[in-house]
Amino acid sequence: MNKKWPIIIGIAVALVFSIYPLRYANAFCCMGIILAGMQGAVLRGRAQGFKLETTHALRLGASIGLGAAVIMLLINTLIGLTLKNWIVFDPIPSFMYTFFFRLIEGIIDIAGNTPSFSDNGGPGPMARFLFQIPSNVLFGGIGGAIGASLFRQETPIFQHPE
Amino acid sequence: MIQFKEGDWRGWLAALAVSLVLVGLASAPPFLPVSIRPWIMEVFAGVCHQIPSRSFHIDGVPLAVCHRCIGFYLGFPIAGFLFLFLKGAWPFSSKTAPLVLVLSALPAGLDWGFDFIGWWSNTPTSRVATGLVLGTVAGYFFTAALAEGFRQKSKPSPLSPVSKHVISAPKTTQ
Repeated sequence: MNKKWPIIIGIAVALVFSIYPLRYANAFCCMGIILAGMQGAVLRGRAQGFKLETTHALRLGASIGLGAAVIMLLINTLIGLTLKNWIVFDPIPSFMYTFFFRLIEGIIDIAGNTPSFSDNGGPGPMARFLFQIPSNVLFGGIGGAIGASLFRQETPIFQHPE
Repeated sequence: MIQFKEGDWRGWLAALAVSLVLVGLASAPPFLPVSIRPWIMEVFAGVCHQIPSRSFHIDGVPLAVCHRCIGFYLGFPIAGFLFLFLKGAWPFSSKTAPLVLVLSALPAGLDWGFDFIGWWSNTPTSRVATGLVLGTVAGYFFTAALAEGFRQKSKPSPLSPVSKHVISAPKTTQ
C-alpha cells in the first residue's frame, strides 16, 4: 500500500462523517475525526506488518485531522462564495441537531430559533472551519494514538516474577 | 506486578496533561469574560453540537461541550489514573482490543438509539455516564499509546553516537 493511502482514506472517513445525511450518525460528536485517525493508523500498521510507532501514528492522525479540516475550509469557502449560506461539509451542524432533538421531543416549530454563541461577537461562521483545524489535529492525533495502541503486545495485570 | 518503565512516566504525564487541558478548556466558558467565551465555543464547535439544553450550565452559562462529550473528556484523566493504578498493564490482545473499544461505545450507542426510536428517554446522567465509559476506555488506550511512544523514544537508538562511532571507525591496515 502506498504510504499516502492511509492518510487519503482517513480524510475520506472524516469527510464522510461530515456530509449530509451521514453526519446524523455522528452521535458522539468527535467520533468521526477520532475514527478517521484510528482508521489511518490501523491501515498504516497493517501495511507495516502490524507494527506502528506511536509518534508515527500521532503524526498520521494529526495529518488526517489537518487535511480534513483544510479540505472542509476550502470547499465551504468556495461554495460559500458562490452560494451564500451554503455549507457542504459540517460535522456538527448545531441547527440540524437542535431540529433533530426537538423533533424527538415533539417541538418542531421552534427548531429554527437556536441561539448562536457567535451572536455576541466571536469569529463568525466561516472562521468556525478555521477553528476546526486545531481541534481536528488534536482529535485526529488522539485517534491515531488509539489506533497505534491496537497493535500493542499483551501484558497481563499480574505477571509471574521472572 | 508490572512496573512503570522510564518512558512510561513521561508518556503518562503527557496523556494526563492533554486530558486535563481538554477538560479545562471545555469547562472554561462560564469562568471567562463574555468577549472571550465565543472563541472557546468555536474551538469545540467542530467536535460538539453544543446544544444548550443538552449541556451543563454554571451560573446560567453552558460549558463548551454537551453532556456526553464532557463525560467522554472526563474519562481521559480517569483512565490516566487507572493506567497508573494498574501500573501500565495492557490486558488486551490485538483481537480483543478493538472489541473492547466497540463494547465501550455500545452503552452510548444504545442510550442514543433507544432515545431515537422512543424506547427510552435519555437523561443528563445517562449521557454523562455512557460518555464516561467510552472516554475511560478510549483514554486508557490513548495513555497506553503515549507511554509506549515515550518508552520507544527513551530506548537507545542503534545509531546512537557510540554505535555511530563504532560503525564509522576506520579500518586499520597492517
